[in-house]
Amino acid sequence: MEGKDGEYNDGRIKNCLTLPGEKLLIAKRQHWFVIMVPLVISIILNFGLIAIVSFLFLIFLNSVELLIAASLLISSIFLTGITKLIVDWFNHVYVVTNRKILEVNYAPLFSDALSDLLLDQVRTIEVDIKKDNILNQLFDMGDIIISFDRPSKDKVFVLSNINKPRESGIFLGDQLESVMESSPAGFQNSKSDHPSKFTQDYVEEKYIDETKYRRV
Amino acid sequence: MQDIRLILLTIFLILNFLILGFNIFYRTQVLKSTYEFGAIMPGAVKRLLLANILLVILGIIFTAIFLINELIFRLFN
Repeated sequence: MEGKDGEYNDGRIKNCLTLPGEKLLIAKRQHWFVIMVPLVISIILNFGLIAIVSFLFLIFLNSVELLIAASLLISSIFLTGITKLIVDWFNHVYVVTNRKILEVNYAPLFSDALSDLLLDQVRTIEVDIKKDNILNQLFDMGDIIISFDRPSKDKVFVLSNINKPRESGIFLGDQLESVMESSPAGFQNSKSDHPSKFTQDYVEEKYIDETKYRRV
Repeated sequence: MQDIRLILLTIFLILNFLILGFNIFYRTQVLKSTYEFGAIMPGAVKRLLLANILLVILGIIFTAIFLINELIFRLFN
């Protein structure tokens, strides 16, 4: 469900673009592998429980009716759980626009969490990409960590377990950098004719000071 | 032995009705949220929600038949 401005078909994402001049940079769900593990565990547990129940009812109670009724009940309970798992995964979305970063985590009937961060008042942004273990490497899954005003470590926004984190992270880094340049609170480079890093500026300034001192 | 069967079948029937109630309410809520937020829920999820309800109904029918059968058997013996 990745896409640029107009290419989006998901109505919910369009509903998230509420601010004037807001454009969608990226919108992602967690990787499908995130729900695969609990899904497989649920299925194994389901069959395991049916096996235990069939052993109990056939050996001790000698009743096929109870076995059928119990199997249907167990299956429906697990299917309910699996459905909830999929619906919750579907409703957990990260949205990054040129004005804000948003995490929608909505579990119908249970919870509704919405985490929102406006980029207008942010001065600096850094984007880190993290792929932790062998499974993450194998399925190209990982975290994108967006840090705001890093020296003070004010706020960190994590897009966890998303698909293709490297490509998305690089894309986001480039896009957010251009957003920061136009931001009122963003870091403005005074020497616009030759862009330079903070460390270079500092070293040059120090050098000039020393020469002045020698002349005096 | 027959008492245990009767009790268990009754418990299963009650649990099935509870799960059915939950599933119907949950499906309504999911579809309602779909309309509220404008999100397009995939057809597979909608079918899964429906399949869930059908499975519970199937469970209710079977359990009810077994329970009635058990009651009739007790009545005539």
